[in-house]
Amino acid sequence: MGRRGTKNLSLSLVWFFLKTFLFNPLNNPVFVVIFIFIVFFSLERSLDKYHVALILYLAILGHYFIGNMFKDSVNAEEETSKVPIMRYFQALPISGRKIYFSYLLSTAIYVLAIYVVLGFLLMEFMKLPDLKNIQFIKSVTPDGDTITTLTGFGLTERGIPQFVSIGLKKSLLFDPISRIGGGYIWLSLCYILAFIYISVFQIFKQFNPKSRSYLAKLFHKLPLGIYLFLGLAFATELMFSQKEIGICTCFVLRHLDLMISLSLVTIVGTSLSIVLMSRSILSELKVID
Amino acid sequence: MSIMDIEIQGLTKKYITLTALRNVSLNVASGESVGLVGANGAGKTTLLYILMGFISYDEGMVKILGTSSANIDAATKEKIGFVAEEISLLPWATLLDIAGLYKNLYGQWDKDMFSRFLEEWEIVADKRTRSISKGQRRLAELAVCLSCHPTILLLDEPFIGLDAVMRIKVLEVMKEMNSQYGTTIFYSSHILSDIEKIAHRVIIIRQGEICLDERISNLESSVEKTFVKYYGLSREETALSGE
Repeated sequence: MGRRGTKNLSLSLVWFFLKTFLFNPLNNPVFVVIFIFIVFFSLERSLDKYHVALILYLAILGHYFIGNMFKDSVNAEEETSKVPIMRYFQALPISGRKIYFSYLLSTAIYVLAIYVVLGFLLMEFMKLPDLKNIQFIKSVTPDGDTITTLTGFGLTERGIPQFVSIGLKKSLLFDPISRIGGGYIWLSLCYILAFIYISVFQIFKQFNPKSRSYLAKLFHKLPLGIYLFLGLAFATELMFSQKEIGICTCFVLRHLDLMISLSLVTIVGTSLSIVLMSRSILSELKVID
Repeated sequence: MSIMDIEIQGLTKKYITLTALRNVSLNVASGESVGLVGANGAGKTTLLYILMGFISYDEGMVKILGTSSANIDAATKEKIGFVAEEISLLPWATLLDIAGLYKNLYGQWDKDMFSRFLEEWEIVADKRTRSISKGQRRLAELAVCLSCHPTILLLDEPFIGLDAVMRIKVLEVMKEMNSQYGTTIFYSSHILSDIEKIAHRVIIIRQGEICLDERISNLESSVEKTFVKYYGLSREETALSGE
C-alpha cells in the first residue's frame, strides 16, 4: 500500500475525457455522423451536397451533447446540489485549472480529429473544384448588382488546405429567401441565437440557481430547439428540393461554396461554444471569480 | 494531545434567505469515527460541503487535515475520501474507466482492495454508470472512495439506495478501515442504528446548531432515544424519519 507518488495528472484527465466521452461512440453522437457518411457512400458510391450538409448538421448536433458533458441537472433544489458532477471533479486531488485545461485540450484534440476525418472523407469522395486561383474580388455586374467576395479556409482538388474566395451577389447574400444568401443568414442567425443562449443562460443560472421558472427551462432547451430547427429546415428542403416552398428552401446547400462556409461557421461556432462553456466550467471550479 | 483531522470554530453559513449553520464548533481527532445526525435541512450537507471546500462560509474557521477548507491543495485532497448524498459518478464512464483515472490520481490507490469490492459487492464495472442500478452506483462510488485509502472519510448519507445486507457489508468495511488503518470517519446518516455500530461519537445538529456532541458510550440511552429527546419526536415519528 505504499505511496507511488503523483503522476502526470493532466494527461491522465485528457486521456480520460477522450476515451470515455469524446471518442466513445456509445456516448458521442458525432460518431453517428461518420457512420452515416460511410453508409451513404457505400450505398451510392458517391455523396451529393445534401448528404454532406446532413453530415455537417449532425456534427453540429453532436457538439450540443459535448456541451452537456459536465451538465446533468439544472433543477437545483438548493445551492449545495446545483451541479453534482462538478462536485465530483472538485473532490479530485487536482486543481481546477488543470481540469479546465485538460478539458480544453481534450476537446481541441477531438474537434481537430473530427474535422481531419471529415476533411479526409470529403477529399476522397467529393470532386472539389480547383480553388487555387485565389483573389479578392469586388465588382459590379452588368445589371448593377455588387459581387461581394468572401474569404475562408478550404481544400483544393488535391486536398491541400488553403484560403479560398467565394463570390456572392450582394442582393442574394442579404436576401433571406434566396437559396444562396439564405444559407448564410440562417446559419448566422442560429449561431447568434446559440451564443445569446449560452451567455444569457449561464448568467441567469449563476444568479438564480434555484430558479425553476419557465424562462430557465426555455433557455435550457433553446439550443436543442435551434439545432432541431436546422434539421427540420434541412429535412424539408430534402423532401421538396425540386419545388419552391418558400422559407425552407433558403437553407439548402446547393453550392459548394456554401458547404465550405457551413464548415467554417461550424468550426468557429464550435470553438466559441467551447470557450464559453469552458468559462462556465472554470467558474464552477472556482478558478476564476 | 491528539491530532485533530477536523477543526471547526464558530462556523456560520448564510444562504440568501436562511442561516444554514450558526456558530458551529467541533473537533474530530485522527482515527475517530463520528456520526452526524439531524433532520432534513438541519445543515449536515452544508457542513460537509464546507469541509470539502465546495462552498464558502461567512464566519469562523474550518480546517481539515490541518489545511483551511477554503484552500485545500491537491495533496490534501488525495487524503480525503468523499461521497456525496447525490450519486455523482460520471454517467458516461464505466467504473473501470473511473478506476483507471483514480489509479493515476491517487498515490495510495489499492488495486487489490478495489478488486475485492467488485467481487464481494457484485458490482457491475464494465457498463456505463448511468446504466446500472442506483444501489450499484452507490456501491461503486463507495468502492472507488475506499480503495483510495483515504486518511479521512467524509460521507454524506452513504447508505441511500442500499439494501440492508449491503449496508451491513459496507458498515463492516468502514469499521475495518477505522480500526485497522486508523481512518477518520465523519459521516451523516438518517439511519440512527448504524451510528451506534461504527461511531465513537455522535453529533446532533438542529436548525444549523449543534445541540449535542457526545461519545456514544457516555449517552444515557440509545442514539435514537437521544435524537427523540433533542428533536421532541415520538418514537414512531423517529422511526418514520429513518429509513
